[in-house]
Amino acid sequence: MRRAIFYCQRLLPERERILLESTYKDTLFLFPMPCSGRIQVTHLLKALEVHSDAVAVITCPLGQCRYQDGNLWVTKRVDRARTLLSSIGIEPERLMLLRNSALDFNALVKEVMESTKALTGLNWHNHTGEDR
Amino acid sequence: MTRLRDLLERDNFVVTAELGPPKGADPEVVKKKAELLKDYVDAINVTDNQTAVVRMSSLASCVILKELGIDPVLQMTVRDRNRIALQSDILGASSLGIENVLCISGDHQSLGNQPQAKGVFDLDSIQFINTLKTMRDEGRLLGGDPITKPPSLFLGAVENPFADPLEFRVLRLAKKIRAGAQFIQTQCIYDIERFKKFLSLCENEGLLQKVYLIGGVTPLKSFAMAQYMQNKVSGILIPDDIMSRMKAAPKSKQREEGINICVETILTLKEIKSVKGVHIMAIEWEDAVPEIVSRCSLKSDQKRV
Amino acid sequence: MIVAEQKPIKEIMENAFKFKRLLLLGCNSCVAECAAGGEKETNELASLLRMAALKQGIPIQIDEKTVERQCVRELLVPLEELILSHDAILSLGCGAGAQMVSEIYPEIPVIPGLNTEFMGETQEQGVWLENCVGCGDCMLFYFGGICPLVRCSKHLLNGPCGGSQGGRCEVAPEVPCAWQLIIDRLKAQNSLERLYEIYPPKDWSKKQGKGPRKIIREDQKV
Repeated sequence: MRRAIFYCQRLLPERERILLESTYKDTLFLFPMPCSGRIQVTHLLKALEVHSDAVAVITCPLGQCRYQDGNLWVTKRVDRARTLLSSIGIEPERLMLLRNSALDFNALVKEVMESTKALTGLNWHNHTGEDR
Repeated sequence: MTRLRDLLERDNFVVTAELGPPKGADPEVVKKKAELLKDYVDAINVTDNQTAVVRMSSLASCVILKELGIDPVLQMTVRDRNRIALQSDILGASSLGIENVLCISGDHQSLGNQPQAKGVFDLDSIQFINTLKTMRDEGRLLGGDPITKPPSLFLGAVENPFADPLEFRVLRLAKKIRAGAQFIQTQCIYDIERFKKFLSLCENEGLLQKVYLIGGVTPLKSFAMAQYMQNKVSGILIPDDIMSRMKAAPKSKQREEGINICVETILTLKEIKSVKGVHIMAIEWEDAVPEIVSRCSLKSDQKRV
Repeated sequence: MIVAEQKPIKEIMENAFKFKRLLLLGCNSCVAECAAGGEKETNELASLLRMAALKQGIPIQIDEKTVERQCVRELLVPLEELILSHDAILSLGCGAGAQMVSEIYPEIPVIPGLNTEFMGETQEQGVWLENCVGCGDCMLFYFGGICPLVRCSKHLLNGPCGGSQGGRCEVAPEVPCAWQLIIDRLKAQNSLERLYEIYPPKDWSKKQGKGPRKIIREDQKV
């Protein structure tokens, strides 16, 4: 079971990213972006297609986007990607959007891991399914 | 020379009524309704697939009326026929002695029971009137081909003084008259004040000397019908005092009140010099017409058919 | 521009999955502007279809490519090797583009991925409105720049009809009455008298043509 998290790079220093990934060894992959608004529908679909069983997007809190409304646009894109996934029979719950607020980044990551526990690995990914 | 035209030219206040043909092939339905109306009206309009719902054709129904000795008014929309069919049908109508023609746009096809139909609108109603005028007066079809025997026609159009924009309605009426309209039947009148306003705007342009204006009325069957017409039918304006009267009347008395209002409206129209008649559109209530006409003392004024 | 929408995915998969090597061909002109078949949408759909095939266990190779404009022969000819190495094309161009592809590569079946709808304008981001039907005899000047053939539900040239109320058309409350718009526009230009004219019947033969309409410019030919 592999999760990918796309997030605004302001939310997590690089050394912490390395630490988190090693904590969740091979089940978590973190992708920093210049802004969560740079995430396109294609990235989300591609991630599920070639690599991950679940994808999360973590944005800066509302009103605090460095590029003004990047963290608003990404909401529409996540919605669209979820609709597209549903149309081919893939659970839209594999795709999540979270906003960084009072909770710290680690807590959000934990939430992602927990809420995706019940999902099975997508049948075309070859990785062994333990350590959910 | 049709009876309708003759009476108008002799300055009579005419009475016409609307007859809705059946959704079937039974001529008896048309005959029954015609019998109800014939002693009370000077001419009978037959609707043409009104509200874009398929019914027996207006032309066929007019032939039935003609056989009963009634002067029919053939309503024809431009929604269902291209210029070839329109010109052809009118030549046919005239050959059968059906000469009063009311040229209308027609309700949009999406509103009826055939919403997937292609709306034709090859000509619009003004171009249609003009085409018929040319056929009659110059003996030519659109495009210039001569006609062997021009049709004899008395041309009518509809105007809606209650549609927007008000000032433009006057301009449109002027266009219809220039195109060839000889008589006008208006959409049903409830708001007399607005109607009078419309008339005075027309007077300013000298239009009412050039055309016979016949005011339309529709008796309300119930408060529910009043609400429906106000909210769902475009181009109908019912003032508050009439809505209140219909609402206040108990259910069993609403028809009576609707007829009362209709009678009052007609009596008011009778007093207006530039109004040359009344057109009663009693939708699926043709049997109300005799009572309305009698109470307005309009029956005795006319020579009967 | 030409405005189109993607077909429902089930409909696309029904024909697309009959083949073993499928090429999605997008177009970066009109259909990119209306977010139906541009490079972005082509990549998304390719990914989606691959996942759907994987999920259903259907063995199919799906590739994607986007061209500048799919309806121009010159721009498609260089793709010969790519196209001929697939056994079907899923075109995300409009009907014009899809047919052009099929004409140049007649042995390769073309599956349309879009429903082409109308010629129109981008009113605002995400909203497209039909505004031209290609009648071949433009009369916009007389109607203040608003085409009555498109905007009026009954395409009257001497409107409005009796169904105009409060600036709305009788067909639906969200449809403005074109003639109200035309009147307002001409008023703003102090040219309302243009509507005193009785505009004669339209020559529909310019729109209908005899078979598909064709324009040949000798001065433009090679």
